[in-house]
Amino acid sequence: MKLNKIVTITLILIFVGINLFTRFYGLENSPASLGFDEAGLGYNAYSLSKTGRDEWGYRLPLSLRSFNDYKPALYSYLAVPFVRIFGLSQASTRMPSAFWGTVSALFTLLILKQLTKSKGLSVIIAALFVSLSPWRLHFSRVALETNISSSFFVILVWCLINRHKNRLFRLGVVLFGLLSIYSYHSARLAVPILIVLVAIDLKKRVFSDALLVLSILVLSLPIFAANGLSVLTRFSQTNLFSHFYPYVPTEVIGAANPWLSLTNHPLYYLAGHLFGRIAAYLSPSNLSVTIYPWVAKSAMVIIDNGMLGFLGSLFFIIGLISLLRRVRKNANLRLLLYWIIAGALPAALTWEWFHPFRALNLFPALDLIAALGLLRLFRKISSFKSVILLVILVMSVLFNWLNEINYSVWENNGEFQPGGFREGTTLLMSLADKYPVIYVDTPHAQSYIFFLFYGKLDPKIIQETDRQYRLPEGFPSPVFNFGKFVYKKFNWPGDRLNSNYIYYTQSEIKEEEYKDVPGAALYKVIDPFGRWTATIITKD
Amino acid sequence: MSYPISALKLALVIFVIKKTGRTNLAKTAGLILIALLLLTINIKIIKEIPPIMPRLSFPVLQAELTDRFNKEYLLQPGNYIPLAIKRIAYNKYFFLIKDIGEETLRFADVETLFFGENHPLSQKSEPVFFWSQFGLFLLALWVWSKNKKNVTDKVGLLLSAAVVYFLTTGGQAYSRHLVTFLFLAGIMAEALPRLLHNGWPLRLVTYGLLFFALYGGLAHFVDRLKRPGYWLDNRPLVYQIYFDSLPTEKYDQVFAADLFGYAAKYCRYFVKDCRKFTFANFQMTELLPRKNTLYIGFNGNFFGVDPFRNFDARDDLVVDSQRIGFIHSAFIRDNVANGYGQRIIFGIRTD
Repeated sequence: MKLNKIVTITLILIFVGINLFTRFYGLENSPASLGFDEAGLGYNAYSLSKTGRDEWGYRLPLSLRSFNDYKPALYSYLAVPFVRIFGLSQASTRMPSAFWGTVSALFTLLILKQLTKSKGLSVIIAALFVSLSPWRLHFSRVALETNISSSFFVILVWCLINRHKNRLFRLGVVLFGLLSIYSYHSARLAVPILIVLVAIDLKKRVFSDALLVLSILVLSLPIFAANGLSVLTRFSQTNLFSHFYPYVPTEVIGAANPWLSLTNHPLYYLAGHLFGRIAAYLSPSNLSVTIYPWVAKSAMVIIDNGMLGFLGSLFFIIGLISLLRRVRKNANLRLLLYWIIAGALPAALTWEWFHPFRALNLFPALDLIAALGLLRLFRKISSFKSVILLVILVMSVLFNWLNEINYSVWENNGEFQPGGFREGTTLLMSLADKYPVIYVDTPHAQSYIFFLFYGKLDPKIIQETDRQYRLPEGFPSPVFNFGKFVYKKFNWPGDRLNSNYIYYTQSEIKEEEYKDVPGAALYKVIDPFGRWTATIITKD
Repeated sequence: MSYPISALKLALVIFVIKKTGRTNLAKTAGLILIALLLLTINIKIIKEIPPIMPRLSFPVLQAELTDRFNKEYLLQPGNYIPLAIKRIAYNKYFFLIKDIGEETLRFADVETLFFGENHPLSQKSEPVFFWSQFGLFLLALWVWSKNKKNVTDKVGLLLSAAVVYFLTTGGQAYSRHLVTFLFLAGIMAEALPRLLHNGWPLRLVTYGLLFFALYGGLAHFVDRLKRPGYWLDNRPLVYQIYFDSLPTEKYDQVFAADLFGYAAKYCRYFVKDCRKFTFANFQMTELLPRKNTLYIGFNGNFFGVDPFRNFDARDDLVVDSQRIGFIHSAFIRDNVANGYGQRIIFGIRTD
């Protein structure tokens, strides 16, 4: 069904409205609490907005030193307006991700329109279906640099498709390529690879395309210079080449030099590792039902759904076959293949098998393939079956959303999103004024960031702190004291003899031990799941 | 499941496919017939329940939904959604479609089918296809999609039969994928001559992938000679340790972890009278051990499953917390039960 211009614009506005609503609704409570990295990005945005410096005191940095992991700083800069307008909160920290996730959805629709050359309603329906896929909802509702990098990557692709139309699109390629590079590490490889593959394929206007690649590489030098060493160190720890060396099982090669082996040559095994890591992103079961242990314990996990969901993965299979059929004659469809290679390759060079964080630039391409599959299905089936399919699509996107905003909150509140700090710190700060010292006893590494974030502590406190990391007895990882906060293992038999302090502890507490102690008070910290997760103890 | 029965099922599937007509109705009828035949053999004769079956029950789906509703209501603060809206997606019918869809997608497990040589979870099974054949498979899909309708229909029917076989069969992946192997080999074999009659870039890629596939065969052959314990089924060895290591008469009951299947059959071979044996994949971390009961299982049964098999020096911890003492243990060279480790443990309650 062809649509006129006014109807099309109205439908696109509805499309944007639905995407905005599903991403922004309940952002403060879902996910229930921030992850360490989210808190780091949010607090650094707060620090930048107040002082123009990050938590370490660096003025307008390109990379945030944060937990010595040197996060690209762009996310925090994008969060500054939201933090200024709405104050520092979970919602304002996540808003850049929700906003750019919506923009990504809109550009996915525009790309799909160009790929299919269709002005029909079915394209908008297919785009709406994939714009509400589990991974898009999940990553748009968490503050993650990789999500905005992926959004910029989508706009880059749209500009790339149209780059020969006028100069603005070529400028767009450079601008959004750079924004993607400046927002997440893996884009530094993915952006040049994509542009080079596209340029080689078309074999025309090579000079103009070479200029684009060159501009991006030159303009991205500052981010390489800013934290090149730390990125190289990180790469040396995570890369496939050193992790699996010598690639051949040692029992097979024995003491011999593996490179001289004729029957079990390391290159065969290395190529298998690399090829498998790329293929993993095309595995429908990985995209829907398989949850690997390293994914399960991270912010990447999408409970009960997978990245594309079951329906998206089924459409992906149909779309892939349809894509293979037409790919040879259609340059724009070939671009999807290059997108897959460029998106998957940076992640495939690391030792982990299927790692959506590192390959998020790839997933919009998989969405587009799924959308092509859905469109093909619409064309193949009768009107009656189309109506049934439409009903299932509505159920499916609603399930994705409900699953994300409430059920996943319950299920994925693991180590990466430790509960209790939000509720606990608010209470702690309301009680802390009259005490000279706040003792902290928590097993979580980097927990300081939660006290800074939820307590909205003045950035100058942490900027002026000399971070002397030490390992107090009973702590699993090194910590440092800051402001009034002192890390110390909770020991009630000894501590009950002291006075004038407040304790934040996640150690096991027996309530009856505090009842009759003069000047002692106990406050339970209950997380959103109704669990007693931490305790605040005051002793006057 | 024994091999003759597998062969019989395979023969039935091929026979029905051969006899099925070309119309959509005939193909649907053929697939339904295959499903019914397989379900009858699997459930009634060899008593092997396909994993999808328990999930097709409305009471089970209802329980899953109730659990979901309860958890969401308990969130404080949660995000309010009107019940009428929730009901659109949270209903038995959608969950039924979702469960069937998800089980079908397990069929498309690229890692198990093509990357047995370097499986991400160190899942040990004989590789059926080598990694480079995934490239050949993609090229074959491309050739298939460009084929004339009668060819695509035949291959499509075989693929549908492979999915039906997978859904209606239980047990290990290799037995569920029996028709899949046929489909994959068939589609690649059919595409190969066409690929080799294409332009030079595609010919070069095809020859490259073929070379790697042949080299993979050689590399794996050598690997198998040098590491037979790693690749081959060591079920007889495991069950010999289970049933031959210790006398079991003095215990009221014996729980033996059935990780590989057919423990009961091996028990009848080794012990004869197996009435006091219960074969179930127990998790000691989640149950209270019974008195005068012997527990036989792997590290993973006692300490919890760990895909990375880090089971070092955890014995004392379990002895303290679970009141379980280890009276005997045996180390096997390799274990195909992913995440369960390589040590077979015999444990009893100590108090």
